[in-house]
Formats: sequence, structure tokens, C-alpha cells
Amino acid sequence: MNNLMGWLCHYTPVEILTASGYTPYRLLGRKGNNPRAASYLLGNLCPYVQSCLEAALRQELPPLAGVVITRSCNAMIHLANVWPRYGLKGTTLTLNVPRRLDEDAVIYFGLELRRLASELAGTQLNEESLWAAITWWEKQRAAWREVFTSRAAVQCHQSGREIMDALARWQRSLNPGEGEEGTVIINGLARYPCYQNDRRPRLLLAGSILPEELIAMVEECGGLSVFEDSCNGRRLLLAPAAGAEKDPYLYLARLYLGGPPCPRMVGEGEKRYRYWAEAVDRFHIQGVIYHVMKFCDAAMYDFLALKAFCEKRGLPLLRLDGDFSGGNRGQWQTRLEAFLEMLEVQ
Amino acid sequence: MDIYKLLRSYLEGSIRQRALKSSWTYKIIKQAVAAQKRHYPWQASHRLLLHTIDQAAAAFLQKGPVVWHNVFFPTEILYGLGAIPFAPEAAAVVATGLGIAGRVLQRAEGDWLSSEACTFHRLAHGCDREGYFPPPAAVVCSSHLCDTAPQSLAATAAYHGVPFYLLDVPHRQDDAALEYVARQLKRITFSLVEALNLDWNGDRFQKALVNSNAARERLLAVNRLRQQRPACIRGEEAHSFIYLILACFGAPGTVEVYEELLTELNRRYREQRRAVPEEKARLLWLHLRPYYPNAIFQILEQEAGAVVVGEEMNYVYWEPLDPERPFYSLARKVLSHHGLGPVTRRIEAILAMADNYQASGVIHFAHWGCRQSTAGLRLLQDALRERDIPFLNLEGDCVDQSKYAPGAVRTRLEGFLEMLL
Repeated sequence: MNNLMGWLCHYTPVEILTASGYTPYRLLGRKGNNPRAASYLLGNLCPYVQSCLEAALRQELPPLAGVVITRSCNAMIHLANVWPRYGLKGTTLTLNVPRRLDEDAVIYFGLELRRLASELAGTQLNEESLWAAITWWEKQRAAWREVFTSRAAVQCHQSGREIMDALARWQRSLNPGEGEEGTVIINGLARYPCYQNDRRPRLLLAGSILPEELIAMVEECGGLSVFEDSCNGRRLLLAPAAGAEKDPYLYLARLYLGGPPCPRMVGEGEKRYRYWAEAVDRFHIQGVIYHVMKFCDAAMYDFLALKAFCEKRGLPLLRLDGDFSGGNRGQWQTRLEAFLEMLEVQ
Repeated sequence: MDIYKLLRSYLEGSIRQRALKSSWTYKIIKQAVAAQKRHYPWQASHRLLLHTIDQAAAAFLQKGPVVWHNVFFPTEILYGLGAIPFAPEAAAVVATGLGIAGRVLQRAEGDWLSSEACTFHRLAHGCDREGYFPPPAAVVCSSHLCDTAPQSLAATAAYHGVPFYLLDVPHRQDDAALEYVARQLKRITFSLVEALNLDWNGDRFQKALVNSNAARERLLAVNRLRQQRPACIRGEEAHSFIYLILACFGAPGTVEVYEELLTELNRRYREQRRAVPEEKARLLWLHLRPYYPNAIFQILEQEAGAVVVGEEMNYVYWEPLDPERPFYSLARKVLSHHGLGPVTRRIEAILAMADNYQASGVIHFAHWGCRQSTAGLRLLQDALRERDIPFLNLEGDCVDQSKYAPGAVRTRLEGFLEMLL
């Protein structure tokens, strides 16, 4: 039986997929333009979502038993509409994710997760298996959070590119039953050489989803990415759940809604501000680069909030626009070099 | 009379923002509009304009706490609280008419608001930051359909340092969603009472729901009349009443406007006063229309006899409200929106509208930056094709005139009409 279950948004509870007997597989898009997807998803829509649909239409994805699509933004909502008709065969499941964090939202999200679990498992999911999956994933994330924390130290850390490469591998085909591959990836990072006396400017990179080639280019140009605030970066690792909870669905609801907020969580602006402030202080950030994904409404306004934050903190900020196609390299490079030069002068 | 010309004369030069805050501006405009009553082809339009001027005056003169809201938030709550609702997206349309769109869009761009964002919200941003809009005492916004509105309104609330209340609307219509939305509505209502120091008046709150039901009944009656052949009101004329459904449900004035429209429509149907001399085709209009001078309706209705007989935005998608259970019935209204949830719900609603209005063609105006309305069109197009209903997706911008290309629009419309007639 094919047991890969695709997912896109970091609010997808992979624990439920694992406990239901599936191997979670994150769709991370593809390089290049998306002409076929554009004929199904009309208008100016998120290139990441278009890219995932394009990969499916071109049959570039491994065979999936289905896909879980969160209705977390307009682009995802529309993807959920077209996927079953034009995407891949298999189950298409949707999940509503609240845009706020309060007790009502937690209860509602808990019910949604319970519904998703019964749809995935075809029956009531065994709670013991779910707790086992929760524990396993939390161990994985805790190990990752340690790796991230180690980057706060000035002398010793992995490069942003290495981290993001490993995270990309970690998000695909990961299951407790498959050779503890996640642990291997994380432990592998520890064997990377330490960067002693690194004088490269320490940067925070932010955006909805960060293209890997951007991080690579930042470091090729002489910067050092030490904190990636994106749904394929730090936000993916959530935050340890606070307090005891007997219901696994409510536990997961709190875990996911309570993590570092995505720009879509408009009611959580202050929390996002505190999250940036903590990252800047703890990771000794000297400059910020914001990648605005084309047509991502949340990112457009999130940039304005980050700009206000940077102005208040006197932090240099560079905005780069991208379409997730792997293009823009020439323009990015020129602007990055100028930005990093300015940081070095400072 | 050109109302915008008159307003522009008051908004010139450095006194422009002050003019908006002067009671004389509204007195003079209202008197001038009132004096022109006979020149309006529809008395309901005249009444609508007077109603809108009163609303604008109340907001700009700060006759009470002004609460900004997006066009999908249930305004019955705001009218029920005695607050003064202000819809920046709708007000952005007025900015277009006043000819200040270019200037305020530049301001938005200067504030790093990307040109990929919805122009309604960019305009609203620019108008607010340039001092053209009344400052809010609080901001409320629902999350459904539009991703930009919550972001834009949250940013505005932060800019003015006022409370922001988000109504988070799930994409399911089950009991859990109903409970979740109803509880939020109740909390938002009483948070507004507390934050704005309002007097809670249960009777007034219920009255707003009664008004909403009365407006709904009349709008349904208007829609039923418009489903008859031949059309007695042109789409261009009917389109302005969309403002009511977006920003005025719960207000007594809304009932009066619809009542007037219903009376006039009834009379015209009795007298068989046709909208166009020869009705050659009946069209359904999806989403909004451009609000600057353009030739679209001239080409369709007056030149080709293809009358827009129904608008998606005038569709009554909800059941009557229960004033005894205000929050649950408002939650049910919010969750009933045909644009919420899988696109199949919207498609079903549009196909039903096409049947009811006996529409032979459908036009969707794809407003730049509006992803919620446009992205799912392929499935709608397929569904209409299966029913042999011609469909045109007309791309453009509702409020930015610089994006309007008259030649290209005419070519596309003529191509569509050739297929239709």
C-alpha cells in the first residue's frame, strides 16, 4: 500500500498522519515556471501553491495516497478546490485552521483535528498511537530546536544553507518506523565543522516560505543566515506545548496554534513582534532580509510590520521579491551584495 | 448633476481634509442633491445617495464612535450598538470618483504597500494615511473570503492605536463552526461595548436584526422582479445598490431605499418600461465593476442590448435572522455565504442565479489583486461550459483608472457579444 500523505502548510498536524499509518511528505514545490498550474489556478496566486500543483500535474511527485490541504489562506483554499479535479488521484482532505489563539479557537481546532483523524484513519484513531506519534515528533522537534539554539552562539554553528537543506530532507518521508531517519539527519548536522571567528554579518531571513536558493545566495555573497523565520524554517519547529492536556487533539491544537505565528495569524501581531525581538537579541542579528512571495497578501503586510520593527530597532532591512521559480538571481545578487557591503561598513 | 464634481470643488488644495470634517460640506452637498431629486432616473438612487451622505457625515463629523469594518462583517452588530460603521473598501470607491486615487495610491506605494495587493485596500491605506478618512475608534473584520482585509485593517488599527477584533470564520457550515462564530460575535459585541463605552440596548440590537430582515425581504422581492422578462432596470443602474448589502444591513435607511426601489420597479414592470429598447441578451454579472468612468455598460446594454439582469453581489444567500437569537443567526448568515468553503458552493449558487434570471451569458470582472474571486474561475468556467452558457472573464481594476484600457475592453466585449447574440 502506498502510504505517503502529502501536506503543505506547517499548521498540518503530521502526528495525526503518522498515527493513521501514513508517512507525511511535505510538498515543497519545484524550480521553474508553472504554466500548467496557471491554467487551473487563474489570476495572481501564490507561486508556491502553483508550484506544488505544477509538480503534481507533471507527475514529478512520488505516488501519494492523498494530500492534506489546510484552508489557511486563499491560495490553499483554491488549491483544495482544484487538486481533486486536476491534481493527483487519491484522497484530498481539508483542514480549517483558526487565525487566532484563544480558548474558543483551540476547542474548534481540536474538533477539526479529531475530524481529520477519523477521515484519515477511516475510523476512530487509537489515542495511544496518537500520543506515541506526538511524543516521537516532539522529540524530533526538540532536537531541531537545540540545533537552532546552538546557532545563537557567535563562534560555532552550521550555515543557514546546511540547516535548510537538512530541514527540507527532514520534512519528506519521515516516519518512526523508517530507520529513525530524522534523528540521523539531525545528528548529521552536529558533525559539520564549526565556523571559528566568523565575521560574516549575522542575518535574520523572513518570509512566508523561503526559497533554498535565496539562503544559498545570501551566504555565497558573504552573509550568514542564523535565523530563518519561515514555514520551512523556524516556524516549522513550533514551540514546546505548555501545560498538561489529556485530550491529544486539544494538545495538538494548542501546540500548533501556540507556535511561532505565521503572518496569516492577524490576531497575533504582538506575539509576532515579541518573537522577532527575541530572535534579534538572542541571535545577535545585524541585518534582516525579507523575502516577499509574489501575490502573498499575508507576506505583503507582514513586511510592513517587520519594517516598522526594524526601524524602531535601527536594524537594516532588505526586501527581496520572488516568485519561487528559482529566477531573480541576477537582481537578488546585486541587491544582496550592496546590502551586505553596507552591513560590513557599519 | 455630478456629485463628484461638487465634492471635488470642496476638496481642492490644502483645505481638502478640513472640508471633509466640516458640517457645512455635508449640508451644502445634501441640499444640492436634494434639490436635484427630479433629475434622478430612479428615486431609490436619490434616496441611497442622501442616505450615504448622512452616513459619511456621521463618520467624518465623529457623531459617535466610528467603527471600521470590512464588507463581509455583519454590520447589524454595529448598527445595533449605535456605533457609526465605516467601510474603508466602499469609501475607496468614493476616492476614485473624487479623482484622488492616483495621489493616494502613490502614498500607499511610498509606504511599501506592494502594487500586487488589492487596489481597494491600497486606496484605503493611502486615504487613511493622507487624512481623508475618519479615524477609527475600533476596527472589526471577518476573515472570510478576503485575505487582504484582515491584514489591511489590522495594520490600520495598529497605526491608530485602537482595538482590532477579528471574526475568524471557518470554511465549514457545521454545528462546531456555528458555535465558534456565534461565540466570537458575542465577544466582539461586548468588547466593543466596553472599549467604546457604549450603552448596551437590547431593544436597539434586536431592531437592527429586524431592519436587516426587512431589507432582506425587499431585496428578495427586487431580485424576483428582475428575474422577469424584459428587464426594467439596467445593470449599471442596479449595481449601485450593492453598497447596501456590503455596508448597510441593520440600518433603517436601507429598508427605505429598497422599499423605494421595489415600488419603482413594480410600477415600471406594470407599465412595461423596458431597460433597453430591445432586450437581445440577459447577463449575470459576477463580482464588482469598475467605479471610474468607463464604457463597459454602454457597450453591453445600450449599444448591444445585452442587459445585466442580476449581480452575484446582490444575491441573498442567507436565511432570515432570529432577533431572539442574534449571535447564532448572524453566525449562520456569515457561514451561509456562497463564496465560503469549496468552490462548488459558489458554482451551484451561480448556476441557480443563471437559471432564475434566465441569463444567457455570464461576465466576471476580475479585479486586480482579488484572489478569492478569481482563482477558482476555471472550475466555474467548466461548469458553465457544460451548460452551454458563454462566459467572459474581464480582467481589470475596479478602482484604479490607470489600468483601464478602453480599446482592449471593447474588443473583448464585442468578441463575447458576437458569440452571444
